Amino acid sequence: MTLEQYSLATAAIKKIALVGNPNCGKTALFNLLTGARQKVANYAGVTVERKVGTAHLPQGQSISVVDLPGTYSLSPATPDEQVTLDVIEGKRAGEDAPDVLVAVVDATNLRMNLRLVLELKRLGKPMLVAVNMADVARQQGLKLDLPRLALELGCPVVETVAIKQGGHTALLAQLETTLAALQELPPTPVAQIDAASPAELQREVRRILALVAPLAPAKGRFQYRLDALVMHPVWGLLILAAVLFLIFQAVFSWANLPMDAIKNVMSAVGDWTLAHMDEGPLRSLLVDGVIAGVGGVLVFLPQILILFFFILLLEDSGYLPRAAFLLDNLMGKVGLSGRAFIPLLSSFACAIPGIMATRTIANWKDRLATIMVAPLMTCSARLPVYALLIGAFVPERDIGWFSLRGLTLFGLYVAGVVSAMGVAWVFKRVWMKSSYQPLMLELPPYRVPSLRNLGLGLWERARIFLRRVGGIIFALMVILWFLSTFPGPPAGWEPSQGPAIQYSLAGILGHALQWVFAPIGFNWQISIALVPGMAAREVAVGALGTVYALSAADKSVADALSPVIAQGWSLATAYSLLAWFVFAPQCLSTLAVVRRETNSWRYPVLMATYLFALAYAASFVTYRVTLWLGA
Amino acid sequence: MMLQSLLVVCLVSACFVYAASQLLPLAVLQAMARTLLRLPLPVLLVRGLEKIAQAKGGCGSGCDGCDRSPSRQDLPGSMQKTVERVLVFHPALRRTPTAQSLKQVP
Repeated sequence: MTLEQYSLATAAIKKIALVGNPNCGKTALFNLLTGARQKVANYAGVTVERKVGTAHLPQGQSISVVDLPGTYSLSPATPDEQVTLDVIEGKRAGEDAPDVLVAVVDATNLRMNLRLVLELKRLGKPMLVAVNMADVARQQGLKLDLPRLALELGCPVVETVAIKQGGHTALLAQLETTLAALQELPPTPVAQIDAASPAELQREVRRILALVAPLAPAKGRFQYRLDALVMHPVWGLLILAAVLFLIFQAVFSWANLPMDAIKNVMSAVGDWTLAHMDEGPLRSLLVDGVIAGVGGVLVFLPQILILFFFILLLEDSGYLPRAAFLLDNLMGKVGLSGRAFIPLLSSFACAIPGIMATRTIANWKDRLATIMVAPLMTCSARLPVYALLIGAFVPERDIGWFSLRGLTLFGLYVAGVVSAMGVAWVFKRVWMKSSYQPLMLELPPYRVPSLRNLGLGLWERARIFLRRVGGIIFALMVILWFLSTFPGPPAGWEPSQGPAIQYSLAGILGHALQWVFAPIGFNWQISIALVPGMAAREVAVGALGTVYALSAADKSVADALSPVIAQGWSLATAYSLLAWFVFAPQCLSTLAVVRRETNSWRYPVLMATYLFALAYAASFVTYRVTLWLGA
Repeated sequence: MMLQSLLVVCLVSACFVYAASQLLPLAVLQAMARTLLRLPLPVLLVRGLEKIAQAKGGCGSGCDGCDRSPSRQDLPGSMQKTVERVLVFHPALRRTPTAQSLKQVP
């Protein structure tokens, strides 16, 4: 591509950037403009990287839209705020500065939001203001004089409702006008702004607010009363414990029906394949590799969706930042910043977004400590392993109002949290010493969760899980089947001499690894399953399905792994494996993200080493104690 | 039986390639792609390999949301309008003597 062609190609598409305070609805607006499905939630710090998409204006012109992490000012304090400033100023490697800035403000919180708008205005770039959540403001009885606001700010102001279809119509029309006017003007360089003091800016905000929203109502009493209860040092903690308890109970009690349905479908597909295909390698691959392995993981989709249903509900309601404040004291005691709560909470879904969310932590040592303990939070990939072992070894019995299985799962999640706190305490005492950073977090208003957001969020989680099952998990199961089948047993082999899998590559590897894992009670089948489990933790379940299916004399194992391990393993082995997965060295993708976020191999190597050591020690103790107790 | 074996060979090979492309670091994939590009291969395969060999994403996943977008230096002459500023999140600790510590030295 010549320079002229490049210039033409880049000049043709104008770029706008969505800038604003955290939690003012930038990503929701981005999704509405571009049709994307980026994660949105009712708390600050969800977006930590810039996202790019394409939007179409009413007359057909395409524009590039950049969604930026929220920032309170143009003096960045955290890495995510630095990303925002770099993009606005055109200092970002590989991309030009945006042609137009769209300052997104929360209509219900102009007092806080307008300060950034005034700072942005000083940059001298073409800008327009999107007053978002206009519907909520109206419900609260807030009347905004938008023409006056436009006059005071010296730029166009439009209303938007980012969570409603068509809530961006006025913005699109205004963008068209602004971009058309741009063609006639030379590009504006970014001005060198004089740093105005926050007090000066706040005075100006107050003056403007007195003109455009003179009768702004105060925050509703109901919100304060609810906060007094939810953030109470005793009642608040009890409410938090009850909420978490309910979630883990529901994961087991509500999922039975859909899980049984998936199991039945997989079983029927297995039977049909056995009945309609001649015996041969492809039939073995489908039944023992795909159906036993991939099907074994797919069964856990309902449990994962139930867990995420509750997480999304809490995210949208505005409860999570309150929980962060409640736990700030505990976090401070172990040396973590209160801001670590949101990244650690995100790690319950997956450690990768959790590690990326640490960008909201300003202090490097606090950030590093949070990154190092994030994999200890129980990610959703561990849920299939826990569910399989609990289903096989914990009886379906009620203790009072609660199911024993739900209690066990709750205990495993608590074990993850406690170990993360313990490790953080050690790290902060011996290595990453830093003073306590007080938590400053904007509390969002309580909102009734949006059904659309909930539906989209669940669909997104299901899509991610199914893509993993159909992609990397399927590929690894096929490879594992191949390694567990070839080379075949020697000539003259009889089934009485043991399963054919022991002569295969995976069998040889499993027996070699068993030497390492025997002290913690793992047999050679488990040792094989741990290897592909490094790629994705839930693969360990599928791998066990494949290995046991190939080890079995009859084909019933392909249908149900749970009864097979319940008969074949001791209770000590099962508990030891559970302990292993509380600490288990995380998947390769997590290590790659730690490398990227810390810019060094030192930290992922250290992380893998300490987690492996902890997992081994915990499993050893669990196995020996359970044996000693006579199980 | 023969057909089953053939299908299994194809499926297993495809899965090996897919798993490698997903799990291996980009640097390793690029080195492999460059080596393979020296061989006479079908055009379709060459295109795919060229894509990998020239990929610039930080993790090879093809997203454009991370901090490792292409550097300014890769763009033609006058396109290099701004200077890339590397964000260093963990500056190496260099213990420089402070006034207080100097006082303590006998």
